[in-house]
Amino acid sequence: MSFDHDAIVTIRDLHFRRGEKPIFKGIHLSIRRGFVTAIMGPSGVGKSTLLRFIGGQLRSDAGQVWVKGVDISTLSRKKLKVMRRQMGLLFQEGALFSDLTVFENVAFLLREHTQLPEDMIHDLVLMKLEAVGLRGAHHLMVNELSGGMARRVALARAVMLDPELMMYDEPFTGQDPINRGVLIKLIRELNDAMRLTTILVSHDVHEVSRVADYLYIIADGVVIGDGKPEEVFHAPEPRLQQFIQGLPDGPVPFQYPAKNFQEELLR
Amino acid sequence: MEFVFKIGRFGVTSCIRIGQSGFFLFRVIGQKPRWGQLLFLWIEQIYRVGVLSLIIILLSALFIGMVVALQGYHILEKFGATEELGQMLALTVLRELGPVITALLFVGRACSSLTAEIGLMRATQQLDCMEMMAVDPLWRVISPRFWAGIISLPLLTILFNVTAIYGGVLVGVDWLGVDSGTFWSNMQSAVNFRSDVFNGVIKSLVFAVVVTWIAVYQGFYAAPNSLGISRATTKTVVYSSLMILALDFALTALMMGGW
Repeated sequence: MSFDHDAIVTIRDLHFRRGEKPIFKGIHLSIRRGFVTAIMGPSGVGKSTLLRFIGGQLRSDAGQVWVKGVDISTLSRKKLKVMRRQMGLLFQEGALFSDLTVFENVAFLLREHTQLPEDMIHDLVLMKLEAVGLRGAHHLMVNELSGGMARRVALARAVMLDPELMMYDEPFTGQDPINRGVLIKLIRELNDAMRLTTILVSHDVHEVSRVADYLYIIADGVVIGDGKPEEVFHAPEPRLQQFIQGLPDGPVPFQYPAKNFQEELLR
Repeated sequence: MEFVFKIGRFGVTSCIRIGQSGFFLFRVIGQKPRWGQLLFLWIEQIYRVGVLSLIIILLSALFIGMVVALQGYHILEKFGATEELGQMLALTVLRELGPVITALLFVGRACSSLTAEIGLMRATQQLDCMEMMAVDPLWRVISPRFWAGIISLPLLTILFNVTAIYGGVLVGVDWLGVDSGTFWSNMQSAVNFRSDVFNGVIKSLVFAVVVTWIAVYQGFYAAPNSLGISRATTKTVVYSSLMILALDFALTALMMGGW
């Protein structure tokens, strides 16, 4: 199985079941270097799970996940660690370490992976916090931060080692319009200024259309549409249109599969 | 037939869990030490696990020592042997009450909080986040807590023993009027350092390994939701308490030459 040489991540025919429930039934996608690529789809289709495959945290039932030309499932624990140092992942809730201050959270990777002197760590951390607009909050504890601030601190931490690949897991969920705007700006600016490749997992159509260069839409365990946002949003595929327009019923049914309602009531 | 399937499934699941927990312990112990960072993490965890447990352990020890002396005095009085109070108190505390009660209190105070803390770190994706940052959570989170438990419990047991004996002195000597010289000299002549004091500390060391192992394992593999964390914490307390009592019997039999 070959991989796309322009792509930093290539996924081929990925199959995965969680218990009896199939999550992926043959996903194919490529993430091109330097682009902001969004992965969208209804809740529960496995968008975040896909990021865990790219990070080597899960093993597939079939298919391959290539990162920088290497099948990630074949890497030893040591090589996987080296690969992960080149990735950054912003978790859905930030996943900040609650027993550390903002400064220590952002300094965490430098302390773990480098032998830099304390004054240099101090300067680097403040630079990253300045980039996300939170230099003044470096002394706060995590429980003193708002949801939006926590996500920005987590972003500063994730880009601390200047990764090649930055992944965002539902960054806009639960954010007010101002924070959404801030995050869109940061995602775009970090991608362009640091020459990153960005994977953005989200189901927020409006925000994704403002920031993404390329789009994949997943439903029923497969990719149902891909392309530039304006192309995908106008594609006639019914499942895709239901998702884009936010229709409550359609190919994705409102009702969870159940027995006949009348029979159940008269039982 | 369904019953047979259930038993089979339970057996297989139990074997998997035992294997998994053994492998987990092996990975925690086998971590390559990085002393510079490790020392700081150990000190922090010894403070949380050990120092913060001090008050409950010492207060309990004081009251247990007092009640043992009071009960012992009235029993010994029937046989006209109240001068043996010191001996009875010391042997009861050093051999049994010290290691067992300290371990049980430690489970309730420290191990349950270890499980809940680690489980919550799992639920809030902090452990996944560490993995993605190429930092092994077994090294950064589990190992310092595990070793802190092993170091703290024997020390807490020694402090429990001292405080319980002091509580016994308060009641036996200062309140009930047992002669101080007789109290201490009988204790000194009856207590053997190796078979009583040292064996008690060995017991507490074994309890420390087992209960801390159970606590960190249950937290690490807790289901990442509120029910999962609550179940894991309950399992920690129940399994650890039962293991303490079962191991206490086995170790006592072994140390007394019963086996």
